[in-house]
Amino acid sequence: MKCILSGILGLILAGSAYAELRPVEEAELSEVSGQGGIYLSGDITINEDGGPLENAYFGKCSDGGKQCGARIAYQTGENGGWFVLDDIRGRFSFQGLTLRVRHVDDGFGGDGAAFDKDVLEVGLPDQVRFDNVHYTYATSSTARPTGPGFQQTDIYSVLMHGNVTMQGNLLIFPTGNP
Amino acid sequence: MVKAALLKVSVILFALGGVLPVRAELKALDDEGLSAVEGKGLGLVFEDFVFEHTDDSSRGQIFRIEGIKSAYGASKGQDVVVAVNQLYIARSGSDYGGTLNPVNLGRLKNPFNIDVLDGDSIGVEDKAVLEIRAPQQHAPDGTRHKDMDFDGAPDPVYAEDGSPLRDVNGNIVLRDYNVASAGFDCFTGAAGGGLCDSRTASAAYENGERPDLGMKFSVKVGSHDADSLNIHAKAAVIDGTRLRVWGEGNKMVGEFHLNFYTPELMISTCEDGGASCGKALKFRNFLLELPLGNAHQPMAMNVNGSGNFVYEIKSIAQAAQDKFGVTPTQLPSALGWSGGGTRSAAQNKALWDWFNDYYQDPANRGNLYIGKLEVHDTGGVHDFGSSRIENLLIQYMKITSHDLMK
Repeated sequence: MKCILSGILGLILAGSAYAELRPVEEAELSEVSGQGGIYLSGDITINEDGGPLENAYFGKCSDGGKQCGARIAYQTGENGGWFVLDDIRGRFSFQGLTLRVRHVDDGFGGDGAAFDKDVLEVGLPDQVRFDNVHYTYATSSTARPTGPGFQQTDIYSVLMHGNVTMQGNLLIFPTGNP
Repeated sequence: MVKAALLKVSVILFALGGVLPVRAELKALDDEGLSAVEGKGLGLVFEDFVFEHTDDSSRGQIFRIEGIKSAYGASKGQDVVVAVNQLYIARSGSDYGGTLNPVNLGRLKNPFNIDVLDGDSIGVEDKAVLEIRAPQQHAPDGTRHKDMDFDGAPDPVYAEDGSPLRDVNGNIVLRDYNVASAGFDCFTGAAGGGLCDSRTASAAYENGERPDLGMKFSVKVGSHDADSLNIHAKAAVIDGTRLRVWGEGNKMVGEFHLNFYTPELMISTCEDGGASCGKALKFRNFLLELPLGNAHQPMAMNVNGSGNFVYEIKSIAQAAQDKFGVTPTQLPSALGWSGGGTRSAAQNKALWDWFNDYYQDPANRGNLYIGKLEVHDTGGVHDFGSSRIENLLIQYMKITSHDLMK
């Protein structure tokens, strides 16, 4: 009971502070600069047990006769066949992908001083964890396996599991003359 | 406060009301309109970069390429499993992937670049062209004599019979290699000694911009013992490599120029899972400049109706017919072959100029050079000398895949 009372009191007292929300002027805003950047951790799972489709071709991963991975098909010519990334499934996870703006004016074997500009720096996560990541590269006559006259040639499949080392920074900046 | 909010809302509504009557129409940009668009490119540089992926079952690491079946002999129909024991990109001096240190890829003043080009400036008329490229090479501003084949003397020009060419005084004619004063030798990295822009690692700049890259893999067919194969390139440079794509008719076409230079490309076989390696092939000063497709005869990658891959570089005769309406049988008269094939003898000057540009442009020519081929085995090192394929021009190419299992 005491707790609730003090809570209510707190609310009343806070209310009486009358702090006003004030719009920030353009000039003021221009002086604000982002400092920390962004730190991202990711855990992405694709079709671990199977996708949403269930038909003659797609199904649950527990069903050995069905494909349970995702499928991406793309075409480079109208009325032509399709390049396919098929049976995409697995889990990727990483920790410590960073994003920030950085000013480069030294280093790079002397290139930095002449460069003297801001770049967008993507800090790679050092290690990317793959858990049973699988995909098949194929060529196919139709975009969907349910299409008429579907024929597909699987060229190769890749299976990845474990840690992949990916260290360093990717620097992105505009080139050419604006 | 409430009043202010109301005021804001009304201002926004008014602004919307003001915009709506304009009825601005979004119009599709046609190819010609789009070709005039020239965006600023996007530069990419990798700093302190290391990449490694391994297959090692004792550490729970798996990296395999599967789904391939053997098509020949007693093992026909059996699964082929390629285990990628190591795939790496790291600083030069990695001792074939043993020590991985960070490397820089691309230079701030000459980065990897993604850009949209005006096709008119590169011979693709009225098209917008998407270009993805590695650092560019320098334009040559001089020549130099070099010893690329490790025989201790500057390389000569060879005559048709394979002997060094001699001038009227009997002196050996030396080969002129193009160099740029601001460039670096593509193999040794010597300043002013070549056209490449990426620099080697040094005490002052330990990362360098020339990575060691390699792949160790073992191939296992069915229940047979695995065969192990390793490919390593030291201090590799891909300056001048580029991919350009654009639309033609109803399909995507393009050109891919691959440049690859390394002072040592090594291919070796090892006992699977062990460090004991047998024969090794070393290609010293290996150069590959391979242009696939160009503005005259773009390449197309497609899939046919039976689900097979088709790769085609348009035939130059077909390209001439599409552009000028001149059939292959009409070419001799249109180009004035009976008059010696000179421009003045040609009936169709525009066609003659087009062909002349096609044959004269060095960017359309492919080169393969091996400074020295060495075979290392238990008996020692065997020297197979130097080999060269130059000015290769692909006039037509078509590759179609077939499924041998069906």
